[in-house]
Amino acid sequence: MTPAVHPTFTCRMSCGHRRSLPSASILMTNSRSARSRELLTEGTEPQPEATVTPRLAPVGRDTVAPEGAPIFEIENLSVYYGTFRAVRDVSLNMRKGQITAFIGPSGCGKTTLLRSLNRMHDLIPGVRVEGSLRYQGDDLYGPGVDPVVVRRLIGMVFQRPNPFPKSIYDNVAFGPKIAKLDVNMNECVEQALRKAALWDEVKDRLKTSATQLSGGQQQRLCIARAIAAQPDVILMDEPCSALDPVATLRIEDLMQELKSDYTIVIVTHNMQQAARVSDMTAFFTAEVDAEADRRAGLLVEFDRTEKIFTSPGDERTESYVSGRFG
Amino acid sequence: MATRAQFQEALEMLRVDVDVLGVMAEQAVSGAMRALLGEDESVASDVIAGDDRTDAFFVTLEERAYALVAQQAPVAADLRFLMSALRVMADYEKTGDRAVAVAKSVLADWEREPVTIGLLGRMGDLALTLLGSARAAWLEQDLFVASDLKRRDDVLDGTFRQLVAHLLTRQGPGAPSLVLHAHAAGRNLERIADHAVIIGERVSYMLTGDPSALAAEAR
Repeated sequence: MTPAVHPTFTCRMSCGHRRSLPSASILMTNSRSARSRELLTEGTEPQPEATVTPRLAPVGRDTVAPEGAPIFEIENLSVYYGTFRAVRDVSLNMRKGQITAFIGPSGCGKTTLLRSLNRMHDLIPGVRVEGSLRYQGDDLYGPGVDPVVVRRLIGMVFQRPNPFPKSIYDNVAFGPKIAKLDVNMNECVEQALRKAALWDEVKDRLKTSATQLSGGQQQRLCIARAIAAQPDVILMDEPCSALDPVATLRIEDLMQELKSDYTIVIVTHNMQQAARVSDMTAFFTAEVDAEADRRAGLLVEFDRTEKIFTSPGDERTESYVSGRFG
Repeated sequence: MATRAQFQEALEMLRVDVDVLGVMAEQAVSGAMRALLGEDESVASDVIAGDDRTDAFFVTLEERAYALVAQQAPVAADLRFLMSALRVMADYEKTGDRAVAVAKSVLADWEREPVTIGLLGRMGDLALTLLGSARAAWLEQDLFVASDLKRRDDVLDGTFRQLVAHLLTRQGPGAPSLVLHAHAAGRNLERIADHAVIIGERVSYMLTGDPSALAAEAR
């Protein structure tokens, strides 16, 4: 009999190290803080008793999905704010190593959906997610899944740069510190800043306050901060909307460089940005939800970006991308 | 959205003006054929002189299309339309050049042998019919007419093969210049028809977004 191969989680940070973790524990912990710390520490051996619920995915599957394998599998997902269904029945698969853009008019639920991808809504009372949302095969909202671990593996960069009022160094070191990652912190900070294309601009002033940086630099710092926590996925919620065109292009270039290491999902109002940076585009719109008699966001079309912008399959997409909406 | 409405209007005007270029090309071809069949050198000279106007109009249309691309960043159907307009206007411009080449052969000294002239006349009629259909496909955005052009071009290709076979049988002192000029005229008419077919493929792509039409166009 062949011994069961333990799926491994491989860290790809060049400053760090390669390590193996039992796959079932990527998202799950018994006691949130203590357990996640233990599991995210280098050299942790597979501990069968750590498994809270049986894995739903086939045993032996490599949890670091190969290029192009689904990283998010979403089926009939609805998100409610109290009784209001903000997003209804979204089904789509996002693939590893690709940049997926969410586009659509205001109120179509694209940010709501993005936030459900790393359980950001857990922090808002009354928000409920229905349907199935799998991350590398695991139910993201399953019992025993630690939202803190989820948010480390699936990082978020926000619309407005939001560095902590601390030094540049401390901003980047924050994630690895609270996750108690066993890394050489100086190296980790440097690598994250290099990956975020900010190192050369700040290497001589790491101890100065992050708030002194320009808007574009602050946003790249926020990306460095997300990278330092060693995520698999980076979610970006209109990351360039507060930036000038030059800073915007730098972020877009950066996204292209990062996509070999991270899966990126970006919400953008800028059609040309979606066309420039993404491999796949999902177009959402808000329409009257017959069930609730209110407007709810829904997915209209999800396809290769090139297809969406040259010959979309749905008239609503056509009208929106060509600026004739409504 | 006033700006968007103006953009749509500009696209519409471009569509009509591309067809005006098509009319100019069509007139050049019919003029060249009249000159060839009627041995009328003055008509031939008019066709040759008229090409400068076609070229100048083509350049203004091209500039207008580039300006719309640059300023409006078109996508989806608008993008397909503008890219197609650029392609179609180039095909009309080249059609005009081919007509000039036919007109130039009228000015050359070669024996107007009746069978050859008959075959060239037939090719000219077919090429003009195809060109007319290409214009209709573009102007009316008619997918059926557009996609049928390829099939109809086969008849003209067959006539050209007949012409070549006939020319190969020619003998005597006048044969070399006859073969040279008649073959060139036939080849130009055959290319005029090819441009019409390409316009049809381009219209098919514009209307459907189906990239296989682009592949057909490249053949």
